[in-house]
Amino acid sequence: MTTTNRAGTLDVSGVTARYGAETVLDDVALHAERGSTLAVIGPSGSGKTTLMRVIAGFLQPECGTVRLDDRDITAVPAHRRRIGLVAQDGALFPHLTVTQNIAFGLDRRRLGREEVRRRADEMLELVSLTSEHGRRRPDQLSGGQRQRVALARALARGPELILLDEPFSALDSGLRDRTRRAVREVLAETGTTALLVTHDQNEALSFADQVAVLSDGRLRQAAAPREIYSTPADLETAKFLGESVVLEAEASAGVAECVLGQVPLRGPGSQGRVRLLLRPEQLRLVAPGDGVPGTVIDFDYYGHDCAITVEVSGTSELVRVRELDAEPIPPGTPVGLRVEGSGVAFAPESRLRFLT
Amino acid sequence: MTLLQDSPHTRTDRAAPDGPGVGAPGTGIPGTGGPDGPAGLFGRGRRPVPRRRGPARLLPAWMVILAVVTTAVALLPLFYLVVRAAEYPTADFIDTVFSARSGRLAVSSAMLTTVVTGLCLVIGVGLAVLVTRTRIPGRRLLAVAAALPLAVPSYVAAYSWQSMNQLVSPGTTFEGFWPAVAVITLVTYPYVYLPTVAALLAVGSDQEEAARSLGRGPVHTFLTVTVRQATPAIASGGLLCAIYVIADFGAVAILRVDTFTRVVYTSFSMGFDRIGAVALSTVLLALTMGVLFVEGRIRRTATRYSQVGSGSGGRPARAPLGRWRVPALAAGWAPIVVALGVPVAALSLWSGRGVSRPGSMEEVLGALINSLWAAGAGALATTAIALPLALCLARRPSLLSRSLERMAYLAHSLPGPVVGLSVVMLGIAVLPMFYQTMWMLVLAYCTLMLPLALGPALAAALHAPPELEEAARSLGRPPLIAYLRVTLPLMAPGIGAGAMMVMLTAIKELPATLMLRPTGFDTLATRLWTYTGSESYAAAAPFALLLVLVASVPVWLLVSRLLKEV
Repeated sequence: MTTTNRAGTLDVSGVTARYGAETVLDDVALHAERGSTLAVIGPSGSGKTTLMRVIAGFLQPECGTVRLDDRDITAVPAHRRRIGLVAQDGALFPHLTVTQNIAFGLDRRRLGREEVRRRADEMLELVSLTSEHGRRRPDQLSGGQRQRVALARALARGPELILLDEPFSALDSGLRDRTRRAVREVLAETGTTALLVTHDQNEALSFADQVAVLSDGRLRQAAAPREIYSTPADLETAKFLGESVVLEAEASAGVAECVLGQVPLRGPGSQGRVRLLLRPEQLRLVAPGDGVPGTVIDFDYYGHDCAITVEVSGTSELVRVRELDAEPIPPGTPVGLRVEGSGVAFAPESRLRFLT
Repeated sequence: MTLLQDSPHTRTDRAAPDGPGVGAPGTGIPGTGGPDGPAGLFGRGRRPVPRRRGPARLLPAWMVILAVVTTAVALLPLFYLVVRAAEYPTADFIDTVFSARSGRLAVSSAMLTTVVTGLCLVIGVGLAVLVTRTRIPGRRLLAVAAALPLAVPSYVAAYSWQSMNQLVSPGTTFEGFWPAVAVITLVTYPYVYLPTVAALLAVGSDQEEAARSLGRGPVHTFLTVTVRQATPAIASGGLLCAIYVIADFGAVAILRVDTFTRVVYTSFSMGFDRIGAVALSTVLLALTMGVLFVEGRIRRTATRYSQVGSGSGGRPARAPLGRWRVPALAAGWAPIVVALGVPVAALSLWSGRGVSRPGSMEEVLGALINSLWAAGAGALATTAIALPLALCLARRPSLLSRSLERMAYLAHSLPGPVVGLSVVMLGIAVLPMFYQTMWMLVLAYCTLMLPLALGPALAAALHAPPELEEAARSLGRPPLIAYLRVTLPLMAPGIGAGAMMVMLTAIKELPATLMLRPTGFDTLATRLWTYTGSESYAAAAPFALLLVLVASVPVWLLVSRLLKEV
């Protein structure tokens, strides 16, 4: 790579933004280490895109600062920020060829025609496209290719930070996985600091080094994927990050007593009435004699795994069980339930505010 | 449904330039837009204004100021007319408005408008039904031919009829109310025909099938389901006809029917009865506003219908005509044959003689150059004004920019003599240094034709989404460069198309050109006018021919689209 790595550390603090009377971002703080990938995730309307526009410089926050490597860039206009942007649909210029698109941000006077060409070709190669693709117009590319060109265009200038605004959401699922992996490789190869905005929790968890959850304009939690999934700060975050089994429970001394028996707790110790969070993959189906008795209500087959809805005997409690492989089980079949690992307890007043 | 209803907002339509512009400027007839957007005659849809949350995206303050200032310049005559009208003592003003003469004018204007609109509805709807819902032989040919009378400016049609009349029965005159009804109807009915075709095609077969499955017969279904849904489009087309008839100057002047519009012109040209002209102009302004308002309301209903019910389902069933085939063919072709036959006959008979007159080539060439020069300047100025306004409307429609747009449509719908009169008064009282110069004529063209440039430019602006400009800025380009390198090139085809439409329409413009041209400055339209006035039909013919050719360009674009859809 001849493109010098100018990757920087991003620091956002106290950012508040309003549209009219509506507060869209409320005192948001974020941190992304040099060369790392941060995913900002939240339901639609949570302020993700606004946050990204603040960082890119298209929107002035009401208060708060955006820093790159300790330089305050809050007042720097967008075009002087060296922050690359990959939009949802790529935002390629339809009147320019692919190569011209990639070269758009390069200073021809400073670099010279040859160097610009060379860099554009290098970028094409980086995103696994050929010089034949370079001569095409954006409308002659597939969706995945367009996104890769948009990435190449943003990377060509050696940005300090690259913003990815739901860049894979317009692609169909197979292509999405491939493009996502390709982009991740390129980011790793170039050591670029990246911020991914998405509403897809799987994408955030698999793509990023750090995941930040945004809801109603407020930052809920920011942590490593494993940590945020296993110890979410509140039930909303938990629900948003994946399918949940939430049970009423009584906690004491690090153990929760619920309809599925005693479950060890992790995280901060709580006492008394709590809501216990388990994940469906923690539940196991065992022989009807073993474990807590239940009856199968519903069976959903997904191919790579399946989800079984079980009613716990003697209660009206329904729980979801995820099994990697199972023969279809007809509704009404008696089964046994067992919990593996530990759960997380939340104060009972935590209410579910969003549905995933 | 896409036929003729290409609103400028379908992003998929990359050929934006011939989007909204095609229909509206077809004949330079006012009222083709309507206050709800540039979609105009053939786009009955209310513009789905891009609503964005949040502050202006990439719309610098200077752009907004520029848009407001330039549009205000274009609309200056409109404001000035109101100012002048307010200056007169109210009593005098009321006396003039409610005089016996005004009463007579009101009666003849209303009669002409009502009769022509009624006939247009009959012919336009009839043809549309034949073309979309029957198996009439030569359907596509009929569909296209029915739109062609748009290419004949009304005063050219009037000239053709009068000159033919002189050939056929010399010594008699062809003028008065009924000749005017015939001439205007035959060039105006496409304004009902085209939207009706679009609306009838929009009612998908699934709706008709649903009605049939619910036990209704085919005719009953057609009347209660199909026509019912097309009614707003038909009504809106009828009102556009009405606006056109109210605003028409050329035909009523040549055929000597006194209407408000003609009298505004004559009271200006004969002795300059200023208060009379201003009073009648305000009446016309109020009338136009009223019709535009009603038309806008109806169009909104049409949009609601098309949003609920349109789209799905295959082509609607076409009824076999059986033994009605020959009568249907005769009825369908009759108005078209007359509407096209008379001008074609007149032009082919007179042109030869006209061209062979000594010195005629120089004269025609001179007028052509003058026409191109005046219309070119007008197109340039109008486009320059439309550009910032289009960006404001596309990027962040505000109450202000939308009001300006509406006023531009109002000005566009006003009779030419009204705008001509206010520009003359403005020139004499406020801008004497520009009076009797090309500048005043250019200003009048801007006032009359701003929406023609605005429509395509707006469509183009919507094809150049702000995200692209943002991308350019994130790649290190300052705002102005980003605009010049990304947005402007993407808008270029639309801007060009709009400019062309303004130019073609300005060439055909008659009354304002007559009132505002510098002394001795003759264009194709004014030459035709002068020669027709002195019954020099042969001398007028080459000008009429050129004007028809000019008017044919947008009609051709329209027709090529029609062919695809019907």
